[in-house]
Amino acid sequence: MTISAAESPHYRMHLNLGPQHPSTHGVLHLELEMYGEYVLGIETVLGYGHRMHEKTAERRPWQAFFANTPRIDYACGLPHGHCYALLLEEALQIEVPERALSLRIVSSELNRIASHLLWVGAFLLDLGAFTPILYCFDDREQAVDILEHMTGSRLTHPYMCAGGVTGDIDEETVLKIRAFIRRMRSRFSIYERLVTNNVIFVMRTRGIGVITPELARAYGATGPVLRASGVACDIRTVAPYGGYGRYTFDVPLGASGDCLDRYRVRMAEIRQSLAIIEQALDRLPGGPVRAAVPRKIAPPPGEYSSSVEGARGHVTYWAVSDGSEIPYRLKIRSACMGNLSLLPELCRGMLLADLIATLGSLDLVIPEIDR
Amino acid sequence: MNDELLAGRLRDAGAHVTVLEARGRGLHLRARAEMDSLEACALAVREAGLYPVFMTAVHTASGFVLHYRFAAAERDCRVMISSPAGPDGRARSLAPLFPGLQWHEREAIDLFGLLFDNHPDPRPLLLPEEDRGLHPLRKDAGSLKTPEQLGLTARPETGGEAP
Repeated sequence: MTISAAESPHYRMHLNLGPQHPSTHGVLHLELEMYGEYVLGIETVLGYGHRMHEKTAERRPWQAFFANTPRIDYACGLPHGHCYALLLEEALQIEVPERALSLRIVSSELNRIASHLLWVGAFLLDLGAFTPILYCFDDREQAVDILEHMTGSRLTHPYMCAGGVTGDIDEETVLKIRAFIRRMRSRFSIYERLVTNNVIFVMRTRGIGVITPELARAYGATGPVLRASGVACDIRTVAPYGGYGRYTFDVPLGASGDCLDRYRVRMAEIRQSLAIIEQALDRLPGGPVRAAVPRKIAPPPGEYSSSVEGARGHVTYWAVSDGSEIPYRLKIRSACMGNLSLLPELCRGMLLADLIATLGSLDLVIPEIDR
Repeated sequence: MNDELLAGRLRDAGAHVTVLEARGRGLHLRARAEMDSLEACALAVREAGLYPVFMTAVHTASGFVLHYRFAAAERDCRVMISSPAGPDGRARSLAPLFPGLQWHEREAIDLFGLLFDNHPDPRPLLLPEEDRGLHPLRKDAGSLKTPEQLGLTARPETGGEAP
């Protein structure tokens, strides 16, 4: 008597995905409980990129932590620096010059575009499409070049500081950014033909990994993941910070919360970021780019917090000061933790290939979770 | 549910609530509760449709103080609920109410050595096996400050006390 494959105990298997796997985007280890091609359960193993940033903060002067901020989320580091700067400025009651506010927004939005382009390329690579990443990196290179010129670094931009930014931009840089906006706008039709209307791409992503608003809320998922489910949660508009309240832009929303919507939302966000940068350049005020801030700072005892919208969602810094020159406690809320934590509930009963698509669509930077 | 109603619910649940000025802080409701009433406070927050932002602790001279932060998705409303943990870092978990807090609490188990009574999965999250018991965010006895020194107790001057 023979037993069918489905009854065989070997049909159930334990499968390791990562920690070194191109589809896990960083060192994430997933232990999958499989039944044939279907995922029964998932166990996420984190901590490979853990650097204990929060303890580092407790050992150094308040200002020194700016060096850590872009390294937490290395694909979109400027919003992290922005968040920490807002926290210190609130603690010390510093007024930031208008030109610095504009430059912060220009650099943060360029960083967001670079991050989204990196994601589009990597996500398509996950799905087996090799060509799009060549176009994405071509475009991203332009944004990164401008950021390098502005901030002095290509990846971990040391640009934000208490009271403003570390460097000004000249007229030549403004022209470069305007050229980038023009170029980027002309590229959307290429992406549309290459990706958005690609029938294989649509079949791999439509109706896959549907996140309901309720599921997102229970797990604290934010950013494009939440907006793809139709919830207009964008801290730039809900609780405007750093001058965002003066800009007009849309918050792109999805309808069904599947992988395709998450792609569409991010592509639409690139357009909105371009619009924000253009508005900032059109009315770029003159003046200093940094307020006078004492070399040694010691916020009065108490708790301070600030929140910004990173490329992946809600970033919050929360600090407790004992009145000394080093923080007593600094908590960093990363967006990716909330976005990834819903995966075990989401992926039950999913095909392995769809799990890869869903994991990719969350836009994870694993070291941001590990911190 | 608007902020005033939520503040009322949190007070009914047994918390001391301070309504803060929105300017700059982005923090609107600051609630302080005992461990017994933490779950009732979290239920009020869940009914108001807020999502969990983070959970963390602060090591003070009088033990650990837990902090739970929540926010509304489509309006400007942010809530922080704090509660002193019991002796040896014993605490009630809010993960059964907000599954999103599960990993945050596991992180606190790792980094502070807190003990959650009813946590669905109380394993360490970030640190490797050999670092069990390291609890890096605990402070040396010499550098501990009291909640009063840290400004973590209710201070009337930080915002108007709601009627």
